[in-house]
Amino acid sequence: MTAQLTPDALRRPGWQLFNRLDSWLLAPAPAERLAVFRILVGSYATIAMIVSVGEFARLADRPAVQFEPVGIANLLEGPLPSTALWGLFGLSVLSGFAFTFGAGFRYTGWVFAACQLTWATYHASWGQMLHFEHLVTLHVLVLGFAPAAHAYSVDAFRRQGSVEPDTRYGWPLRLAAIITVVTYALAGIAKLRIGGVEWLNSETLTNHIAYSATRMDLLGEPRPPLASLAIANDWVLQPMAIASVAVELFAPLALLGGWFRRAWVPSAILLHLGTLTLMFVFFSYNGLGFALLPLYRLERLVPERVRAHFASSDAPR
Amino acid sequence: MISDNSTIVPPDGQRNATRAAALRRLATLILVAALISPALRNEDGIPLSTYPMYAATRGNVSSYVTALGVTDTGANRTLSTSTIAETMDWLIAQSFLNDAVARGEGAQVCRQIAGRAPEGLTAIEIATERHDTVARLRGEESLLHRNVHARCEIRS
Repeated sequence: MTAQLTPDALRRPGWQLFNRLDSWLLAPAPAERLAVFRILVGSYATIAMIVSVGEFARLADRPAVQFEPVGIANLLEGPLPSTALWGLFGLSVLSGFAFTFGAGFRYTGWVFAACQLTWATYHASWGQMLHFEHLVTLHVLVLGFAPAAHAYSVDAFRRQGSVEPDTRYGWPLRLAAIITVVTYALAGIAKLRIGGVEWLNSETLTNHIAYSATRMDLLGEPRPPLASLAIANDWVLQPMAIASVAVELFAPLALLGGWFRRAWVPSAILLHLGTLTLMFVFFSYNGLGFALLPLYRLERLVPERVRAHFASSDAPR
Repeated sequence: MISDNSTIVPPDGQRNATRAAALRRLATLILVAALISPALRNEDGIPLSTYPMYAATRGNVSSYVTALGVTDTGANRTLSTSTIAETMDWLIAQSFLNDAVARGEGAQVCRQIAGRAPEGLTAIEIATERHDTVARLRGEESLLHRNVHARCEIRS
């Protein structure tokens, strides 16, 4: 005897919720939406890689005794030889450009994703976990294995044909959105798990701000601009502590869209501006909004004139 | 399409779409499980992490490993992150100093920094300093204790 989904069963709240989640997850999207995400994330990641040239130079000279491998770097027996590290830099930049422009994406997509993962892991393998590289790495990994160059790309220009909206273009964006909100929620959970409810007192945030400002003093760098002002007006710090944990914990609500997303996204940006001005801690991928892009219909960012141009050049001849 | 025994058989395209949808649902579940697994194992890593940045509570007294320049009058002068660790990132510079002292390589790192020091300095000191950080931000004296690990002269 097989279980049958009767009309009554289909109307049950649990099944309706599953259906809504399923429809959201597998909703078709235009190839242009995923392509715009590829261009923006690829641009950010490639520029970040180029800007990291000083870090490549620094790590090329580090003594082996300082190497503390994490993640896939555990496969290495020691630090990469400097020629291999510079080879990684060159391949990363080249494949990053190809990724962004969508050239040979079938190969350059996963090559750049592998380079990004390798660099982020190697960079974090010297005693300091650099959490600002996690999210961009995960997004590049999703894009690298997705059909993200079926529009607005060198490959699409060569192929000359339009593509219909499809789940294969929407699903990677849903994954990227899930990764973003889960990341925030995990950061909120970590605060409550490690710091406990004390994290919601003004004292913890006060001490974090003072700790960061003192560190900047001792490293000969300027203090965060609002640090002293916040300490002098410490009544603002408890509401800020509660708000920052709430923004992180409730991030998954942004997936509901509408009012939830409209409220959460500016709150998250404000959180990053707060950590920047109070502690000089800035997760640029998040704070500049790149991490939040998969929550939007990105094809709307493309001016109508450009869209029309690509639509005419995409038409089959 | 209707087969001989009158059951409805989906066409190939529909069957492939159903299979692809099932695989996507499964992959999504695996991804979510992977994302939250570091929190369940309480193990930070990359690219999967617990994101523990600033999660711990902190008192108003903190210790810092510092690298300071000493002038010919004996005054201390702070050094830039690029002088300390050839980086623009203060997290990396701080970690560089912490690791050096933890490994007992203060003297070695001191000499490296001396080689990059700007003019006007006669020596470099690697030290651990305890500060009342909140007092410091209020403009009060903050240094509670200073333990010098290494001092190296700069040859002009």
